[in-house]
Amino acid sequence: MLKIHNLDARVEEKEILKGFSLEVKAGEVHAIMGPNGSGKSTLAAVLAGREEYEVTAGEIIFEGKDLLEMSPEDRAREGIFLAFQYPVEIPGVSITNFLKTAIAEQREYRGLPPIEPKEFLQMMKEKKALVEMETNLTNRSVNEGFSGGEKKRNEIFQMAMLNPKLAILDETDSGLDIDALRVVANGVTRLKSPENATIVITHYQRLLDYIVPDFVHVLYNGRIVKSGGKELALELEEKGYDWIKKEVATLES
Amino acid sequence: MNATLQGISLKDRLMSEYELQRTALLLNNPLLERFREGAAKSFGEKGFPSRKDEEYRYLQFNEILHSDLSAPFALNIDSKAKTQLDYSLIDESAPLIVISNGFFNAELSNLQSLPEGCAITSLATAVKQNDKHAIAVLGTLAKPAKDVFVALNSALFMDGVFIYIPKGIVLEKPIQILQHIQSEDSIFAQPRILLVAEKHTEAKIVHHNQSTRNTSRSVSNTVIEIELDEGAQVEWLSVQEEGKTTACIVSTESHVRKHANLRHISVALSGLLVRNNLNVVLDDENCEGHLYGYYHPSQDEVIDNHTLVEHRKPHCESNELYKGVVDGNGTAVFNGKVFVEKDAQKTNAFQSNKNILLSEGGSVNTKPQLEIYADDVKCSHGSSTGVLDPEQLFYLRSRGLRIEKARALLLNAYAGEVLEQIHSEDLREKLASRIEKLITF
Repeated sequence: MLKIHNLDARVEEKEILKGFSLEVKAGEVHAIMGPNGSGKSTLAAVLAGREEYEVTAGEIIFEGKDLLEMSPEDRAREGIFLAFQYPVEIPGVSITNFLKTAIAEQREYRGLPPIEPKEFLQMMKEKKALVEMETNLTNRSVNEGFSGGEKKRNEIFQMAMLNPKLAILDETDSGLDIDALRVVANGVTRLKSPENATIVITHYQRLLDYIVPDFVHVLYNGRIVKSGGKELALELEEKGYDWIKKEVATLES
Repeated sequence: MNATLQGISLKDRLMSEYELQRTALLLNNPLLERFREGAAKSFGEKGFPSRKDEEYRYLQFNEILHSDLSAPFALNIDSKAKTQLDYSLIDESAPLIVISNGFFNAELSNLQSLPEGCAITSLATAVKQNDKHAIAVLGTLAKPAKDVFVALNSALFMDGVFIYIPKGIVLEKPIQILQHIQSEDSIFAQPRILLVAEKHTEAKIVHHNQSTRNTSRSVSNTVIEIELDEGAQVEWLSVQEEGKTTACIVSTESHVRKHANLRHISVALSGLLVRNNLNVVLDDENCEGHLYGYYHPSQDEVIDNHTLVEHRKPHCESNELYKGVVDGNGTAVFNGKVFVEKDAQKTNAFQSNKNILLSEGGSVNTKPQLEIYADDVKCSHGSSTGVLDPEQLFYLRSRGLRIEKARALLLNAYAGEVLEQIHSEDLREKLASRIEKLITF
């Protein structure tokens, strides 16, 4: 589904990703962990198409297409979804109106007929239940005045509504209490299918108690320095990142 | 001001028209004589503003106040006017007033659905009949000495409309005014509108300026006087959609008494030049003035809003929110003054002006001013000018919205904060879709 090969990326003249490679297949959940400043958020930003991040080398192929050639909206329409670390407040645009527009745009791109209003409402109801979202929240402006937990819940709700092939969760666990974390993680787990894939970007292991990854990768200094199964996350939780840094230093010297 | 080939300036021409038409201008009412004389004198002394004039410094009148303009002294309009009007904002079941080239157009107006006791008449008729309610207000709120355009209108107006809502009447339906210029010759129309809302009345006015089909280089110089007696609640919606050759100057003077509430919503969408002077005097305790505005100059258009709220007595509240979007080579001007006089303790006065620039060529000049002479008040003001938030745009795009759609959604929400003040959902939606059509990419 996704192949990232030898990617170099920078922001404001600073090299962040240096030779980053990753392959994700349908049905898989990958966790990307790493200390602060290792390039986790840059990876999410580059995948979603933020213009201030410049890719200087390497390639990203998504479903056989060159992702780097695509606008942010076309990436979304091809099936990529980024759950933001800091979801933006949009006063005056209701969640309902926003999602109606987003779904209409995505369906048009894919050559599908517009969604029936009844079907849309039914879907809203189901997906709200999935993330245990208050029913009247969707009448409110996008994220305006939402608590941290409501914002993250809203991200997963949008993900459920848009049904992407590849979801990237950027530090979705940050700032969540344990109840909100459970709700968000359950939502993600129940949306899992053999056709879609998830990349979970996180600093901490606790989210991975709920979203069980097939692979765990350690990102350090802009590239993956270690990969393993879900037990690697537990090891990181226990021992921190210092032993990884030492290992890398030894290898490089 | 401009010398022509004949060497006669517009000011001199208008002055000589005044002299020639003195008798007709009395409208059969000798009481008008002193008022006309004073107004003409004020106009003569002031003359048209130059860019040195602080109140008009962002406006370039040279091309607009050209010397081919002349003030019309009779309604001269062909019958095809009806088919050329835009009735899309009009509720057919509610009263409709059409003002053509400054004159009450009885043929196109429809006053059948007016509740008993209310009166809507041509202003000329009201003056000729010496209507006591009209005469009591005419010229007392909009004073010629204050402003040159008010002076000019006061000297030369021939007609307009007088709306009278007697005590206790609650109007469910809006009173609608369609105002337009349609003329082959360049005219300087001088319509005048008077609204008297007596005690405990409720009314909504929809005033639609639309000269979109006019092709002459004309100007309309409207003066509106609004008197709200005790407990009156009035919503005045002004929609300005003037054509590419028509300039629109509107001076609104409103006087709000005890427990009365004026909500004024201005939606200025197009015109060669639009200048609004909106003055609200809160002249008794516990009254409210709410001023909302949306403006959207594009291409080479100029939209200039000057507002003034005067707090004269204690315990009053004013709220002001003006928001603009500037596209193309458009220019927006906002100048908002709030005066809180010494007696006006416990005043709440808030003012905010926000602007979004969509193009490199657009410009915004904003000047919020607060002058407070009382010591126990809550007042705030602020202004901002920026571009559409790139973070919001990216968020929307990352969900699959084309950049055009994302911008339209954000601009729609931006205008929505003003439009939501309008009582009618139908009008809100129609205006929102008109604004959406203005957005070019």
